[in-house]
Amino acid sequence: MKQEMVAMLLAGGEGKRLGPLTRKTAKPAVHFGGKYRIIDFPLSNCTNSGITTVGVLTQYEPLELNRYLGIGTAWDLDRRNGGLAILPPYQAQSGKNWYEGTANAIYRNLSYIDDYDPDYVLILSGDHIYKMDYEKMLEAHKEKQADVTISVMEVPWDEAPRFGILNTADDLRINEFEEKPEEPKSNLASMGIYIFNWSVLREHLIKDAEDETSSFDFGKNIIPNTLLQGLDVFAYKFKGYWKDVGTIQSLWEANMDLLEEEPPFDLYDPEWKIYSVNPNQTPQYIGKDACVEQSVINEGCHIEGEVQHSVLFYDVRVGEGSLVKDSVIMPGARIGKDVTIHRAIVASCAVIEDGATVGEPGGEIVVIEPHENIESGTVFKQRV
Amino acid sequence: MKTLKAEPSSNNEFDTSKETRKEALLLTNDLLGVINLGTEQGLFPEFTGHRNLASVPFSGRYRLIDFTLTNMITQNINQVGIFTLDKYRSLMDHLGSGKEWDLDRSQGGLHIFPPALKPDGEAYLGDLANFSMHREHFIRSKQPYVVITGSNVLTTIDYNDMLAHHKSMGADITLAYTTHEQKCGYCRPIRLGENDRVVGISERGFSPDDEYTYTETIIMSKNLFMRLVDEATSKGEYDLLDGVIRPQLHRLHVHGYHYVGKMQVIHSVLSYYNESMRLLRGEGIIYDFPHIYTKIKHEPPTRYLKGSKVNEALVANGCKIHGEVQNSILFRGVQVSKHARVKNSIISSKSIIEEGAVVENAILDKEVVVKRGQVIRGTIDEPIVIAKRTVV
Repeated sequence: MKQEMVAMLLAGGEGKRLGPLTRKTAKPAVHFGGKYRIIDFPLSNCTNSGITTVGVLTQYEPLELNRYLGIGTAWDLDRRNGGLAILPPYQAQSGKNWYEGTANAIYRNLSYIDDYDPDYVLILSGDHIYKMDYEKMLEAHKEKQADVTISVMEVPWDEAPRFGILNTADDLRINEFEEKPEEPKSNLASMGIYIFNWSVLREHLIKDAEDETSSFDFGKNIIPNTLLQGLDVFAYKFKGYWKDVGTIQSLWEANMDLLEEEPPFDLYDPEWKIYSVNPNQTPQYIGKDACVEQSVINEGCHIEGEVQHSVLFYDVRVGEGSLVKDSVIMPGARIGKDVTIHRAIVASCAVIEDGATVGEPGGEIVVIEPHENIESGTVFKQRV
Repeated sequence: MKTLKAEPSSNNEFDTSKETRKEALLLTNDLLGVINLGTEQGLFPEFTGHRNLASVPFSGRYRLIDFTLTNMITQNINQVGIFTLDKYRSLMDHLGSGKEWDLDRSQGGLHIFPPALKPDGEAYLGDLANFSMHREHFIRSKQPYVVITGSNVLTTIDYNDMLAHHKSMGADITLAYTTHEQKCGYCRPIRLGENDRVVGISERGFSPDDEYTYTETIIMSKNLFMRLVDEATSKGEYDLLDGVIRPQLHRLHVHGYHYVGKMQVIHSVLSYYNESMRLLRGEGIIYDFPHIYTKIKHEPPTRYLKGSKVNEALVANGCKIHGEVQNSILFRGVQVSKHARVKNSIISSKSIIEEGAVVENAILDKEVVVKRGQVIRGTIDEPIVIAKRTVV
């Protein structure tokens, strides 16, 4: 059945720079913010923007992600028409292949999109923490009568060389795209969020697939090609919080951002709820001698020690006499008694036994791996 | 907290093994769940002015009905009928399609029955007319046995074990009893004869000689249940326990099933308050379920700000705490502002305690606002109750 716009969410990323956190799971399934996984943000944005057909393209370590997504119930995407569909690579008459690039992943699912006969296709990735109304972006796209609209945001000039930079005219028409330019002419960075007229994208995907020199990538091939052809490509300026959480440092920072008195990123807006799969935990219990300040804590936690300036996911235990500071503790982690933790990311179901020390004030961010066991009395300041 | 060795309670975030009880469960279940709200009318008016008892909020993020429902579904009972008597809007809103309890099923699932009415629109007295009016539900269901219970007596009774006991004793009716705690004025004492046969069921209220407490849970075959309902309604009886079972104790084989787990009974302001405070001492029933299912609200985690001081507190998600909270329960989305103090209290969802306000020994219903500097103070024996959406 026809849908005006279909969203395609690229969720096959490996997230190598997240190290142990993505060893056995895809980056979009990485935990964030005490309750969420990265993919909750684009999916909730879809729901809040009125987009009800979302294809999620998976490839790298999809098991945890697939189980998490289910049929999309948590995001109200369990629909009779459309809804959420997980789209892994599949065997076809033309052969058996993995998705070779972002554009190739979409190309291989042309028929999925065709089924909905959409006017527009929204391309998203599962790498960023942000809230965005895609409907407004679509309005801008229609208003400009664009073929392609690329969401951009202003980044500090000195950071611009790390991004894909778009050079625009005054009316936001894009005339040049430069991937990581040494001397940027603009500070408008592409956010990797695109709206295409489906007919335009379809044609370009087919052409791109036939080009043996292509790397089948939106940033490297599809977008430059549309510009070369002189299509109407416009920028859409996004203002607000947008954070790439692709590294341990940035993931930690983005979590710490939530702890400010007036957080730059508001999870508490009732008009723009972030949906996630509910783990059905009891309320958190803060014990007799516990002390909790400047922290974000989820249900199912049981705190007997001290928690300062930290983010705790569901079902975390912190024993008596322990201190957790400037850290992110992921679901199911067990922290014993008299433990000291500074500047750490403790991954899910890790165990820090009594008396252990992890990290140090002012030190590098230490990652304790999922299910890792730090034995009693160990001093673990840095991974060697 | 025990000494921590390398034994996490669950090795896997998605571990479901702890949800299975002591033995493997059957794929299908012989029990039809019946939650009878028909005997709970009129209790606890301070909190049930606009809702029935089953939808009274309890334990930070639940409503009373969640406990019975959870106990049923975690034991594989997959068809549950809820017989309401009045004020069921809030209950219907809470239950929806039964999705959160996995009861949105094409086979079985959740059935909510509005009360039976007389031709003139008046409600019938008691619960029997309700069962009788909806007898088609029982005819259509495939389960040969019914388990009938309510919402305000919280237990973790193993219904399947109780059914096995019922069958092995060849009983007509089996009712669960407990021997300890809860000698409350609301409960009914029972007397047991030889081999745990029930020989007497008393009126509500406990005398010091009474030993056994009825837990408001019965199992019997569906056929017997329907026969008893039909006979009694034709004779003008209106109450299942008082009109049908009690008068026939000599004729029917009514057997006692000894339940040894915890029980929490909510029937008045004081019992609500005391049972809530028990949760803070780690004694409540919430710790005996691996998970308790309830309506999902998608609240973000709770924020503790600089200067917050929270001790011995059960806190749900979506709260923002800047002040002091001691020995209290905060439901979802509560705000405790700077320099505000909450002690020995229960604050229901979305209530706001403004700067410098003090709330002590109180129960606040939903969406109450305590203005800056105001003081609400009850006593431990007589906690003060503030009605929904009051601004103090």
